[in-house]
Amino acid sequence: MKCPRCLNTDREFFYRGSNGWYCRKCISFGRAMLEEDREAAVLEPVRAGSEEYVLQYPLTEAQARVSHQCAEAIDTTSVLLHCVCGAGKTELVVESISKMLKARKNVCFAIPRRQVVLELENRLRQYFPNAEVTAVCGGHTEKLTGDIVICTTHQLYRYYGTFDLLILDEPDAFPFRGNAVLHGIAETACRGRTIYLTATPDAWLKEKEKRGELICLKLNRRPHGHDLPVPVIKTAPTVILLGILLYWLKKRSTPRMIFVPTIRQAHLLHTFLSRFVSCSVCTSKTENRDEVIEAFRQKKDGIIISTTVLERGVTIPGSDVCVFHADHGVFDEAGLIQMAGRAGRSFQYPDGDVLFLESSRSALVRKCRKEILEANRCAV
Amino acid sequence: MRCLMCGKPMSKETFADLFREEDVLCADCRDGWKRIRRNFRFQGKKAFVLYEYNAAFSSCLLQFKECGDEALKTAFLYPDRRMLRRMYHGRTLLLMPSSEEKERERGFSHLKELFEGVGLPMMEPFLKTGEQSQKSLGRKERRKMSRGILLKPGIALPHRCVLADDVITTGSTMRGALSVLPEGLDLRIFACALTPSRTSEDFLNA
Repeated sequence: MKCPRCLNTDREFFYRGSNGWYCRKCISFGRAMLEEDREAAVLEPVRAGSEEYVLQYPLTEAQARVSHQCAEAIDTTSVLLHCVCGAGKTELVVESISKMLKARKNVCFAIPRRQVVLELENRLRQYFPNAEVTAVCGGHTEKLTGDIVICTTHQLYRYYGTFDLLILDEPDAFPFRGNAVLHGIAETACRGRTIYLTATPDAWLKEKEKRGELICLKLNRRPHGHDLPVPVIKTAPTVILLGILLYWLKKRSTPRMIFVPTIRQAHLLHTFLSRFVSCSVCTSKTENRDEVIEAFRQKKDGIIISTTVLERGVTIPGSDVCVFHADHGVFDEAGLIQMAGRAGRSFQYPDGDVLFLESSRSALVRKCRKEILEANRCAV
Repeated sequence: MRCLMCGKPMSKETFADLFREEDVLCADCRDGWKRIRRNFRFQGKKAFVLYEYNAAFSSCLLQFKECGDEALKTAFLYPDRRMLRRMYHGRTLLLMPSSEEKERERGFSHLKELFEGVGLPMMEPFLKTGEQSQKSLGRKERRKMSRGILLKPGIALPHRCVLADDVITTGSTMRGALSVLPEGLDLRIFACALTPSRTSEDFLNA
């Protein structure tokens, strides 16, 4: 037995109700009956002229090459775009989207996190002025059809067998990462090719690449052509780390982001640092999160203490990054690379500073540093 | 065996576990449910509820009713099935109606499945009518009907029965059902859960 929607094959999750067998693994998306044939969702036909696009900045030579390779490759296979943080992943797939729209095929851009959906909607509207761009996420579900659909990975259950091109942004991010149900739903929503966009492919993607289900295209250089900031690692007892952190903060007047492993630590550190500098705190429990981030963005020399909520998808021009207690168990390699990738993203300030503070020697932190060095080495 | 809500495996690990009352939910999931076991009077009838209608209860009920997860039918009354059987011994459960449209969509009668495990005789003597069908009814029938609830014509009710529902929210469905039942029945009222704002005695006694 296999669930037609989430592709679950574990017998323990199937239950025989009064209408027949159904899958309990993906039950929160509504009941999927095993014996019934699922019909593909039908979208309105793609409109003529929707494929025209304008980019705000011309692509660099390297970007143009990868973008072109990707558009070629999707004819035959799925693609993994393994690009460093801040390489302009969205811009790289614009050509592929345009190509599919020209062939009147359905295109979807799916992202694990809701916040990014609305942000991306605006960006794609600018790139494709003639296309109808529809955002579908919690609270925005009245309209489900458009030339380009942008949705959270949770909303993909509405589109069984619908898309000829599915672009999965950050498939290694929570909650998509390691979630078998969401993986299955994404797979069944796409009848054509998939493009995965990430800076840190997880084991699942690497496995896929090994099996030859996709080809991997790399771009290890940001558009401004500078190296990725390489983290400086300091190992010391926590008391001394606090001293180093204060010195580091005092020496700079750029926007500074401090990542901590837990919400509790965020508040403790906030209490401590507030005695010396003015800083704000942002965690998943912060209610006015958008306002806090916006205020930090406006202020050119702000300090923000954050948990991993800000680890992805946030661009603060010219910021420096410090990860406090980088050896803590909640950080994984992908997270550390993403956090380091918040620095040095603007043309004006391409070389940000990244500082990893750890209270015990951690192999993971060193592996992360090695990955970044490796990416810089391969970039030429 | 796995927990019906979270899917975590539940095992009998210690000797003491063998003697513990078994449950279909794991301890973590069950802890979220607030057991109140409250006796009160509803329009003069003896009423009893097991749980408070809180987030954990509502998410389970939603998955059961709206997503159609029939496997959850045992989650609500399984730990109390014996107690309920003793308490309402010799009575018939009168199940509250759901709208026909909802039931067709769902494909099963959720109350029937929910109360099935208790092992008491069950009846569905009521009809729920929407606004549309009310118009087609005559005046005489309309007067009989209160808040969209109608007694099925020509049905023979047992003397001793229990009005059974999943949740009492405003109590209007219950009140509607009470108003169409004939006088002189030995009636009790049971619901799995009660909305917390409605626990004030004076409201329920009104």
